[in-house]
Amino acid sequence: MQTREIEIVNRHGLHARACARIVQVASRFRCNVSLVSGVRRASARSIVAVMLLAAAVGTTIRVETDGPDEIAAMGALVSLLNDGLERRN
Amino acid sequence: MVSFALHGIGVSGGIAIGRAQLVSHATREVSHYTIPASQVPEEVARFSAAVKEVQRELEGLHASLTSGDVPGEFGAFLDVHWMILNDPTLSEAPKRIIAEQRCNAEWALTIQIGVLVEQFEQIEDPYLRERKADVLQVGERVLKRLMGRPGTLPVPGAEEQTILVAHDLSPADVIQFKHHHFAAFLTDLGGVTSHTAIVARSLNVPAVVATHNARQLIRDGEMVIVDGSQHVVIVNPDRAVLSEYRLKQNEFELARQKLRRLRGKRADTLDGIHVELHANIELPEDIEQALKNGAAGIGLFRSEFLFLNRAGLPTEDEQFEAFRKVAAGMQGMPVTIRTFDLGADKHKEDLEGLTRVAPNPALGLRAIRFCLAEPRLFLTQLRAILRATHYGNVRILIPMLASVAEIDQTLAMIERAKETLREQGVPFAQDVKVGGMIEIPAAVIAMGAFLRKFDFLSIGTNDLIQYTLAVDRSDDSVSHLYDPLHPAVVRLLGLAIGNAAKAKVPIAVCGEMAGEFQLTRLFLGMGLREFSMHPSHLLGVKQRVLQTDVSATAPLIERMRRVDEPEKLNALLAKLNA
Repeated sequence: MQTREIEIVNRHGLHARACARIVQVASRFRCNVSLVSGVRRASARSIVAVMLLAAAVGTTIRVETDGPDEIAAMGALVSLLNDGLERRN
Repeated sequence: MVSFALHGIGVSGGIAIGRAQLVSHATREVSHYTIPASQVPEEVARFSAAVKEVQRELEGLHASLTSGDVPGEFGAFLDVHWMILNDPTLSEAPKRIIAEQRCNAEWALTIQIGVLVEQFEQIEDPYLRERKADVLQVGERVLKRLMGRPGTLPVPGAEEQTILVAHDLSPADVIQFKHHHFAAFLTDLGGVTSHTAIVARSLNVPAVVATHNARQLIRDGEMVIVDGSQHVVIVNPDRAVLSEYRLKQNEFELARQKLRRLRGKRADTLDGIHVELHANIELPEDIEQALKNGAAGIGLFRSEFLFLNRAGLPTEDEQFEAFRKVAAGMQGMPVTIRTFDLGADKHKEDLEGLTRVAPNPALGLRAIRFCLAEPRLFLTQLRAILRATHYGNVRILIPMLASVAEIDQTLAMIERAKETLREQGVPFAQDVKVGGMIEIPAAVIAMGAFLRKFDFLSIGTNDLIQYTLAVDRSDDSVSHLYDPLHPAVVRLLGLAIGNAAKAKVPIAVCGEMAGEFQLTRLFLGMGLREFSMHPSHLLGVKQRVLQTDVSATAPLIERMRRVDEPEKLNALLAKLNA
């Protein structure tokens, strides 16, 4: 299992379209992808669950990938969260 | 099981004995009913089908976007909705609820939407919290699909009579319940003119409303006696009470059979005055009941019911087809189609997103005001009605008019609709009669324009009373103040009927009052010659017409139009009916 802590830098935090991008990216991999913010944990395959994480700008979330392609998945998510969310809307 | 009695307002007479079936509602018009375990797979499949349909709908929208010249944002927005739709919290969780709670799909989805919305509301960040709107919008899309193709209510067994127990019924329910054979209706809310009352009378089944807590006190499947004439409900009756009521039920049925023999009789008074007795209908299939009760025409076709209980708006062709059916079905007898009266209590969830939230809907943008504000919708309907004039004796009736400007605008719109049909060579009756409804006191007080500009008039008593007395008839806390025999109401009615008679403009009464046989003599004495009412009242009113000598009523009527005390008015009415 891979884990990484990432700070949300989006102006509006994980808004609906950002969540959609996360789900789209996570769904490309076979491993389980979870996002954890405080006590909340969400499967990155459920847009509603990710929206309910309510990760505002400045919060740090933990990304967990677990499965055969966990390293590739982590790489894709980290780059998405670090810079891809705003631009690719 | 403890036997107990509940009291309410009996709004439709007769006695029913049967088993209770509970129904409840969320804020939107979502019905809740329990289903047998055997129906669970079917209900789950219905839910899945609705999700699939919305999925295709969103995909279709998306496809139409990429071809056109629209900002990419819309596509992203649709993507979000598509993903929310396919999220297990929305597309799977309700299935579990259907199975666990054995409830209908609409209800299961409503529960799940509620759960999700509640979670969103706990989010601190206001921007992220507002994303609940996306979940709601997607959820409602599915709900609408489900409601556009409603599931089957558990059909009452052939032997057992079923009594519907609800907190309240909306006009949208009405249509759904029409197709089920309930023996009686019981509601916590409502008054004499509530929708439950209107439907119950239309179906000729007993109903007691304003019972306050019947929905809570009565359990599914309990034996219930509903006595609509005596305003009483008896739950779990003992054997003696039960047999007494069975006897009463038979007597009531006998009296009804006697009335049926009047069906083919001409409605003439003892002194030879002919009276037109017409029927009010809501849907084309209602003409069957109208004809069965000897209606001489349709005095009020409430066309707004074509707009309720469906996804989207009815097209011109759909409306035309409904109007044509009625026009042809009445075989040359007059058919008066009222243009749609939406807004106020008859709420259509989305007139393609045109719905506005009004602080006081009864005084807001409804009926003709709404039509004039949305000329596209109005023209569509006017064209549909005009096209139907070719197939029968159709008249147009305009609701809720108060001022000359509105009358002029409306007549201009009708001319415009005619013009477009002429251009296309579509046949219609060039000389179609146009009438105005008298339901705002202003229309009676300044009636000249109405008398000059319209071919006929029709008094809508329900609204006339509501606006004269400032009482919301559906509000249980003030409904006791809604008094059709308030001296002011009686005077306004006398004035309107008298003015029309003087100007030789035909006038009818099409509100609930027209169907009350205790008031038939009062109206006849005032000079009314055309009544339109619920088909189930036609024979009772006809019986009263046949027993009335109009010339003899004059002195009493004169006094009734002058008294100020309701008690005196009631005493005079009793004398008139003696």
